[in-house]
Amino acid sequence: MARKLEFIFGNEAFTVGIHKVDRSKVYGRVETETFDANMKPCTLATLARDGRTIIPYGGTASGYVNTEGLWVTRDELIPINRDGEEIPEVESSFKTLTKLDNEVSIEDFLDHPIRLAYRLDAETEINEGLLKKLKAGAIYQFPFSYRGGIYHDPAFLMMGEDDILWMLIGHKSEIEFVGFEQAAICAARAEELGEDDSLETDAFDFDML
Amino acid sequence: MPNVNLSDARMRDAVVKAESTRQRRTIFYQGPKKLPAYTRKVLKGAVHQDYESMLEIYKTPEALGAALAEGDPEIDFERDGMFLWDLSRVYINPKEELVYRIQQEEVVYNPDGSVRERREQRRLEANVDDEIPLTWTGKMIPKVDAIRKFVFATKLQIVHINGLTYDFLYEMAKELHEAKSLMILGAGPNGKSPLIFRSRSLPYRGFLEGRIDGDKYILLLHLSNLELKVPETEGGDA
Repeated sequence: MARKLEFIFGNEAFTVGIHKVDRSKVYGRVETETFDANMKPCTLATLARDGRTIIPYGGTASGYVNTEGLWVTRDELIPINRDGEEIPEVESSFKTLTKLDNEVSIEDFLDHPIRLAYRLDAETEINEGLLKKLKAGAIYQFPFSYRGGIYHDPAFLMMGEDDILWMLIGHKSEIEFVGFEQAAICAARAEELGEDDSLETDAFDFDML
Repeated sequence: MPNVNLSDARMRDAVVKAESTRQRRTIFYQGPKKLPAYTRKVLKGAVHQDYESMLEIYKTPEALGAALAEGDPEIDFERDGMFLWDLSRVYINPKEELVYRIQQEEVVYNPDGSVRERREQRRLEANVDDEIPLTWTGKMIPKVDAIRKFVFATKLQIVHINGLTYDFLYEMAKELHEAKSLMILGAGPNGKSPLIFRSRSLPYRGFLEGRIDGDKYILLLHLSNLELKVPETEGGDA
């Protein structure tokens, strides 16, 4: 069953069900199978630096240690920001009302690499004014956290082709204008090429990727 | 920071840099006494401690169960919990022995989970810093349409490496800025192939965006391998 998110736009709340969409659901997937010389199936494992300890899948774990090399348990860990200030916990977006009051530009949206796409199904009526704006290309940004924790991801509500409502979860990136004096090192080379004006968008097949 | 061989509208090409736009880490952890805490990988158990290996020693599951109830034969007190680094990925056979020569096949599954084909493994080679530059296709998609069609999973900022390439990239950014569009960027001789940044890495469709502010510019390469569309066989939920 789809999980439900509740948004509020102006004074009107509405609920949507979310459905994750990824490549495997749209195009299928490719898996690699590995065999030895006798065509016996092989699995990936890890070899420790001693060259003889073979660690099977699931044979490693991660833990926290401090600068004195002592183990730190999870409940002793305190998340802090760059300035050393403690980061407050955030609640799961499924437990709170998400306000839609931050309309952003296409460039703001394009600054965020998108890692998750969810198709939204309206479960209650959506404000007509909001639908009109979304159809006209409006994008709303809001903070999103699936399970709760120490941070929100930037998320976007927008309408795709065919008037389908999407929630796209991204992460922040560092993009800034560069000027002439910010040149990196190395050399460049230039070479003239022939022209090819036969390209059409339709020639780009995402299924082949 | 990979090199990218890029051509412009005049079909002049130059090697420039593609910088990661990934944000630096902003969350850190501290433990008791406000000492910084770091993650370390530790050993939980090696192959000689797993069920199959233990069963070889004790012959029957009942005997193994009895041994586990009596003592700790599954724990290697010498090595369990040791910090791990400099690890290598290896293949092991069903007998859990290292394999030195492998053969690989790809199984292609349809969206509904059925097998479409089995084939020899494709070895995709990097093509963004090739002799043939990435092609300025001239095929523009208005930004407002592009964001409703594609999911842009990764971004790379294209930057100049000297004065000549500054002019080269600034002009590109200016043209794209004025067009308010993303331009499809293709690889290969006909400029239609997807972009591959490292050997055997994921191929992506490339879309170039330009912005200018005075004499400064942003040239962003948006990478996508997913269209924003509903799967024909939609099954999964959140």
